[in-house]
Amino acid sequence: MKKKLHEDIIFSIVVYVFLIFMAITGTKIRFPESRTYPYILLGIMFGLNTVLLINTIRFSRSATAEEVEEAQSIKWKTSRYPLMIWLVLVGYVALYDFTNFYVATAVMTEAMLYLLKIRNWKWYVFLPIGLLLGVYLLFVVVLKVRIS
Amino acid sequence: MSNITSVLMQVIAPGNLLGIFFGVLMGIIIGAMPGLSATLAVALCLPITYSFSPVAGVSMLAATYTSAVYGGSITASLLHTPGTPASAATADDGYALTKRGQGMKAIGICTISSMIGGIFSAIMLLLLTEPLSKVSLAFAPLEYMLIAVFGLLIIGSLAGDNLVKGLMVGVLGMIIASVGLDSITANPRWTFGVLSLESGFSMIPCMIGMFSISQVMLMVEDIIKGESTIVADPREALKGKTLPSKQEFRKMLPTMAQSSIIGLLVGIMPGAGGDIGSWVSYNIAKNSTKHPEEFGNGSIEAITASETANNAVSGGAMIPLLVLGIPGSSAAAVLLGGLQLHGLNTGFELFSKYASLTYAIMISFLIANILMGFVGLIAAKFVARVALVPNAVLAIIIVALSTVGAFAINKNMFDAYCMMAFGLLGYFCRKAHFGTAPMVLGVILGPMIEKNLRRAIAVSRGNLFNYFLSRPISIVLVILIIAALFLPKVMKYVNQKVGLRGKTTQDEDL
Repeated sequence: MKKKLHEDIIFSIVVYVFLIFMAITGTKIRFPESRTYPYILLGIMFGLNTVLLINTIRFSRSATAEEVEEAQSIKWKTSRYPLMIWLVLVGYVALYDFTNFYVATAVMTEAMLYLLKIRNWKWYVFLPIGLLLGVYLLFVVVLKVRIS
Repeated sequence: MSNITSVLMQVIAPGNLLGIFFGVLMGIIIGAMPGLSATLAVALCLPITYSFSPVAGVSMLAATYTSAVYGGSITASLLHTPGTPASAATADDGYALTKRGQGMKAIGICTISSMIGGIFSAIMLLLLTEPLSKVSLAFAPLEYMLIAVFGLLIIGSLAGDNLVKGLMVGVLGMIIASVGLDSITANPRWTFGVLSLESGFSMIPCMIGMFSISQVMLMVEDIIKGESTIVADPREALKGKTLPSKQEFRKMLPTMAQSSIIGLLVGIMPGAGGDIGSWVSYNIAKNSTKHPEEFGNGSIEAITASETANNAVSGGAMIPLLVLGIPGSSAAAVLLGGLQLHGLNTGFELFSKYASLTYAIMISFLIANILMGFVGLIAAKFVARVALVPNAVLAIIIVALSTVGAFAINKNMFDAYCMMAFGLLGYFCRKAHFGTAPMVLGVILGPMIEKNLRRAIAVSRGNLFNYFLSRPISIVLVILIIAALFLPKVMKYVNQKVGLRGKTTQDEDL
């Protein structure tokens, strides 16, 4: 079995890229006194990330391919569906932005019920009605908060 | 006299009582759902409190917190599925009683024990916070900064799987908090020309995204694995008398007294949550009982020890929160956000300028614990059935409530988009064992750390090190900070000693 790259190494690389990006864009902060604190944080983050990288490389070297595989907690097979749902939820927020809470939530509820494999028709009818009514009563009627 | 009247008027205000009732109900329901923690319950309720008065808002959040810890015991006893990690110690003995056809008695013992533990911690909260808050009067900006760093370090070192990862997300939270206009020079930092970023990332959408949206994504994983509902039908378990007999109650009393003190002390220690409190108390009760063989087989003392302690922790965790701004648990960190949302700064100011508000909140917390007992006894049968609701339906409800909550705070859709972005970040953090609680705390404490660091530099006239050496409190705090770095090793040892299974803090996975 070929040894996989440990996910923490990938995380470390992503963090380095993030830190470099923040450090470069941070040069545009005009006053030095505004810049000092964020740069201290970037420095601490850099140090911690380096420790994480060294620890992970040490572990990867001494571990067998199976142990490295076991240490992986993010797997495409299990994470792809939640990521797809997340995209649907971003679409929900966009729909909320362009229409209103009621339309967007009704559409999201029906879509999510279908995608999450609920096949009982009663949920398709009663969940959006109950949810919209509940949110309307709580936020608009009781709390007097504008939600759209 | 006028102060007492003012406090009582705020406590008995209909809005406050309604808020407490709603908080208790929401806490019990959410806490009873396995996988949904007390932290998530408080985070979900946070936007609802926005239009409330500070007393009603914070009281509702505190009521949600303590009730969610109790709610976890309902499914732990009836279904052998702890609603929150704090109820894990209850599961074996509670479920053993249920299998004997005494499910309702298990609930009754849990309810009475939780109520007593909660009431004790609320009374201690009332008695201890004001004198302790005077300590904060001796603090200068440097000490405030060090206290905030200490709080962040404690949660960071205990929340994730390892210290480095926990600290990394804590610092990431502080970087996120530094985005926006500099509070002193009004100079934009990392705003990239986006107008909405000039006021920085709003704390509430960040919190909701980190806790709620990431939770929904994890629930989706379970749904795809085929876990469509949390448990099988719990109706069979709802049998027997609810209240324990006089003899049983007498047996519970010494354990309740002992566990209340243990829970309170564990709660005061920053980072040690309800699960540690309940397991420590469980083990001490087991070692001091005449019938240790009953533990694990439906022992009333065991249920009492675990449930009294985990609710005593909730009041204990609020002591360092109110006095110094250090949250004792993840849920208390969200409570800190609630205090800030309502314009309340922790420390001596809470007990001087806002004394009547603070005492009203603490008395409301006491009422919440009493109310929790009554509501729990009445509603347990119905609440247990919540576990039958499909996960998909729960996920949809969480998404809708989170989104409307994130929007309603500033009436700004940008916050809802931010919530989604933080949700994705939170999902990966939780999957990779970084934890999300340190990041949220970093976002909350980041501005406080920066403001006090800059003040300390100004006060020290550029010679911060000499200034530091001239202040004994700062030296003590730095020693505590260094000691906090070794805390994971200490907690690992404690966990091994008390037999805590896997988890390190109340909401470790958060």
